[in-house]
Amino acid sequence: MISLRNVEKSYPIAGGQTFVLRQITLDIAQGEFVTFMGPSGAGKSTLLAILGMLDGAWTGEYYLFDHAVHALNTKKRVALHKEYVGFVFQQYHLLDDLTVSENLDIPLSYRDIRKSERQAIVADTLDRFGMVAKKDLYPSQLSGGQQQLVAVARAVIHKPSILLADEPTGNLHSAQGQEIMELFTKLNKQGTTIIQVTHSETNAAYGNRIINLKDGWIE
Amino acid sequence: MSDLRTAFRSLRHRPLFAVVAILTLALGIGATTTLFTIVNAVLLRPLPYPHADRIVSVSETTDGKDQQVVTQDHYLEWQQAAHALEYLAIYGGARQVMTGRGDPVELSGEQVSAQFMNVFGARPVLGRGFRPDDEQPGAPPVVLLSHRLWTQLGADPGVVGQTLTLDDTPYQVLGVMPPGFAAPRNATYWTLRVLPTLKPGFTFFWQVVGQLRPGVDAATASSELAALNRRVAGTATPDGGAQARSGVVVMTLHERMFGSTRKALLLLLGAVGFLLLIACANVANLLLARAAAREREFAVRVALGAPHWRLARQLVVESLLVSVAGGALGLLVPLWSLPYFLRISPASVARVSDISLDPTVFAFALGVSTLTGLVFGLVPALATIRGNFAASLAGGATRTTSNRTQHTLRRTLVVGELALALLLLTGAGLLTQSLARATKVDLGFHPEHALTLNLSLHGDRYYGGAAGMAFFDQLAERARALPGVRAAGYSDAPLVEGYRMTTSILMPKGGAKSPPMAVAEVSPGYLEAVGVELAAGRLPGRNDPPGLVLSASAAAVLFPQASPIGQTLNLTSINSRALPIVAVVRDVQQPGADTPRLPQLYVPMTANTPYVLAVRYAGDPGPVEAALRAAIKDRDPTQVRYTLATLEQQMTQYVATRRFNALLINVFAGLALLLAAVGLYGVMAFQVTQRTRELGIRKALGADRYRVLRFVLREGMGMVLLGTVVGVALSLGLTRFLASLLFGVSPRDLLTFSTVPAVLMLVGLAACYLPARRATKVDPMIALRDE
Amino acid sequence: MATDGQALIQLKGIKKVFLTDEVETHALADVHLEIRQGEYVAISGPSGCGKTTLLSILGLLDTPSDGEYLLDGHAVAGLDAGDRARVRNRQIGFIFQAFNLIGDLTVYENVELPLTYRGMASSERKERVHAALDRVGMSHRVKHFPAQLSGGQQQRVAVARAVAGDPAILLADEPTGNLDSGNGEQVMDLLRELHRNGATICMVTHDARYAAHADRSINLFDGRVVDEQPTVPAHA
Repeated sequence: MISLRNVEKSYPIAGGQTFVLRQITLDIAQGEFVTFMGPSGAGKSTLLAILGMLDGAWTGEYYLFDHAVHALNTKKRVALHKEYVGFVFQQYHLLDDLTVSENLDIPLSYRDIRKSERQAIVADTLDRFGMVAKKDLYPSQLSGGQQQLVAVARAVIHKPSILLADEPTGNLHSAQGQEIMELFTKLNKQGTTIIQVTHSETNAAYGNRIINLKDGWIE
Repeated sequence: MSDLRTAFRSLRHRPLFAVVAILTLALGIGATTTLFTIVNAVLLRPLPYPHADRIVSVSETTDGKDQQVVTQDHYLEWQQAAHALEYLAIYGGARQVMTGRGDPVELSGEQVSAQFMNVFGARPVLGRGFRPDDEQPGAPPVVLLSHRLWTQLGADPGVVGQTLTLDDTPYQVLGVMPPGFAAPRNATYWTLRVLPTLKPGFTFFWQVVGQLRPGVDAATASSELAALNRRVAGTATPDGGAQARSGVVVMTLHERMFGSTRKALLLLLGAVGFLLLIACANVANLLLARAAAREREFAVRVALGAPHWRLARQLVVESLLVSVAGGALGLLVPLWSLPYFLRISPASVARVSDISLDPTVFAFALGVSTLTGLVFGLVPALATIRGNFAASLAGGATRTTSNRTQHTLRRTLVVGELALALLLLTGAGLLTQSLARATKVDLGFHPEHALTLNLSLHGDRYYGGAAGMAFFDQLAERARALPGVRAAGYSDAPLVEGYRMTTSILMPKGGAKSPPMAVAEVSPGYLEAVGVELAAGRLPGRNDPPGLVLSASAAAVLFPQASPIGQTLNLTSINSRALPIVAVVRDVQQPGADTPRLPQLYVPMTANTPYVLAVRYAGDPGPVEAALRAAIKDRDPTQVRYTLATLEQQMTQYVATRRFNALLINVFAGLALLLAAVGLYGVMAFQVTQRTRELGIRKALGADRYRVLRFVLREGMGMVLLGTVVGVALSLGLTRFLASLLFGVSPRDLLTFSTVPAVLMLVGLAACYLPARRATKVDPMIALRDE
Repeated sequence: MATDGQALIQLKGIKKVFLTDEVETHALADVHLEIRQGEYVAISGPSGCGKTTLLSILGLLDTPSDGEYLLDGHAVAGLDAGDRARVRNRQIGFIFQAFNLIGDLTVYENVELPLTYRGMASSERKERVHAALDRVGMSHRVKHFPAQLSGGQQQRVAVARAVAGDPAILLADEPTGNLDSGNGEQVMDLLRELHRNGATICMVTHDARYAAHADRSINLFDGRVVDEQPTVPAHA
């Protein structure tokens, strides 16, 4: 499903270039649950951003299903991103001014879905994630674990094929982290391909494959 | 010292902040200082005389209308009997030609009565002042020189006793007044005006000044003088009806001189005050944004153990640096703009000769802006220091929005700025429209292609009409001989300015008295030359027998039923003979005047010395002007007291004050709009920077360019809309104070109230667009990286 | 000043609770800790375990909700804001993950900054700044601005700033977090050298390899110390 060939990313600096990713060649099949590990600055988050088509400035080849991502312009990449990808961040990144249901609605509102239909999907998701009682609360009224739960729900509300997660339990206590990981496992069993970045061996154990990165190289 | 160095560098590293803040302050401080300096000089500063608060102008009213003058018999009665006044004097401006000392020059002087200098508490520095016996009939004519004229004449210490020739009359120099003394305004010399003997049925009117006795107020003086008037009425005049309608006004001389300018100046002061407010709001916003952007720097300093007072001191130094730089630059604004404003300002302002930069005002404006700088620089930074800075040190702020209180404060400031800018724009719109209407008023005549010469002949030989008419006939002859000249003629009075003579005549039917009408003597060719539009009949030519011309309104009053052409009118008080009416012309109107002119009678030249020559020409007025100058010089080179101008130029003079007001408020409104736009841009740009993370998240969640653009624009235009609504409400409430300065425009004029908000919205949209476009370029990676 | 081997820092039953509208988050739950003069201690644990909160409390940037903190035998709890600023200035040297050099100031001025807050004479400041920059090998860059330096260089300047005032303890929060592994190693070497010369260091990291540099590693998990053991120096 995902195929990277010789992907590289670098920044120009005075007198040369500094590489963030070097010669990344990688295949991920549909339904996998992959973990990127490595020290800070190894390039894990950058790789995740490239996979999610949030980062366009790289070289090499990237095939997603039958799309040659490297050959597409920004607009088409944004369209692919909208169709296939959901994101979960370490900092949850819920919008503070919006309630739980409004946060869930954001990805739908960006996808030209009718209002009534959107309401139905949000209601359904609130049910599925057991958050109906919290739908009118603001993020600041939730614990970190609850916020991340909302963030995961928001990431999958438009039923993406791939869920990308950047240190999803990084800010959570172990019990909350465990809850998120179990949720990931469940989503993975329902067919979502999951790629996560983590420092935690425990979290990595939930997945089926670990890819180690160091200084931009796959080890 | 190191704080100062750091502050300098910190400004240099953020040049945009520094430049915008300093320029904003400079504009606000500069504009305020400029205008307040004018207002202070004109309205607030007392006149430069001892007891200036007791120097009053006295005048009489008829039907509540201030006539600005006093009848002679009343004046004489007051002089005898009034206790409220220490001194009382008459005065009247005179422009006379001085000969015998080099080329003839026209001087501006004052004809006064002997007590005049006592009213102002002035004594000569050389020679002696006027004495009552100088006023006695038959006394030799005497003159007091201003220090300025004395200096111009060579500052001769032996000038006392010498002779000065003014309008061909020799005057003996009595003395020289102290430097700077020019009462009532810009006089260069003073001669005595001897009161004429009153004939029954005739009276004279004088401008009167007095000095109140200490402890007496204007109201007391006014009621005493009114009581004295009733005594005169009881003993002398049987016509008690006219007396009942009259009253006495006593106001300070200051009020008399500047009262008419006050309203406009105060209005402009209000406008500039709003401008300063906008500038301060802008600086406040800049400082708030800067404090937020430097949150981490202050957190680091706190972590390194900086005592709070050290941080406060650093901020104070930075704020002061910006204020001082803005102030220094702001000081240049009045230095540069004051002379310009004075050049274009209306006469009453321009005649204040000693307007110079006011240090108090400058200090005030600098103080206000410095205070703004301190409050808005210190408070948010200190809040940062006291708040939770550990989070900003770790760099892992999980918030997606910035501090809510500051956010609200910033928005409020911008909405306020926009509202004030809209208010000023509305004022500017209304005044500009007034100017346009006043300029486009239906004059009733055609000023284009008409040249006028206002020549005030001096010398006894021209007194009584015949010699003056001969002089003017010759000028008209010379003009008619030029190619392209279609008509030339003269009159004893300007066409639309003031009245040389008004009269009530006996109605042709019924014998009642008509309402007052203006009378002007005109030569054949004059009405054609000024372009008056003919309504009926035929204007008399040079070879026609003398006839009368009526204005349409005069015709309507005197002959409401029939056509006046061919009727005769008996003007015993003017020409002492009956004349046929040969034509009716349209009424003329002065541009921008609030009331229509009186019905007008144009009678043939007989008794008066002509004053105005008008020439209708084709093409360029240059040759006509040159020919007239040459003709005057040929005939009598001492006649230098004249002005030449096209009638169109004269018409623009009447709207000069309107133009000045409109120009100034337009400048202020333009600056206000600019500052508000900069403020809006600043806040939006800051918002985009602050919300980079949120924008990144939104993009990561699938927002496309268009949606991000809309998201940011909606935010900005929300402020613009709110500012517009508040501004319109404010304008609806405040423009009524403009009403008396408007001409032909309602204070709630629909056109202005629809155009101005539209302009504000457009400018607002432009100011929001740039930050919005930058928002669309936010890298969604930002949501992943945690710095 | 405590002599070598005495407890410089004593934490007894430290708790930190964050309150929001509806929830209480226990960032630290009952932490007991002693750091002796001259020790090099690493605090490690997964993200969110409370490491940074603990470091903020140690550095007097934050106050515990409960518990006792003795610094060099003195209770910290009673200090007012001014006293706390003085203690931070004289006793504590901070090294941050994000370097946190002040962009408007040169390298020299950045290092000098904590000294100026003490009202130290300028000749003594100069001496100390140069000595500190010599120790981190950055004395050739005194006039540069932070933006003109690489991340590794910036962090070395930050280390110089932290040690210039001769603090009782260095607190380092993920000092290698924003660096690549090469530059990270260099900074770790620098810290080890400082330690050899007698500096007391407390470092937060989630990287086990870096924790191994320390004498002692404290493992924090869900706001508690779960494991405390001497480490065998990995790079002896």
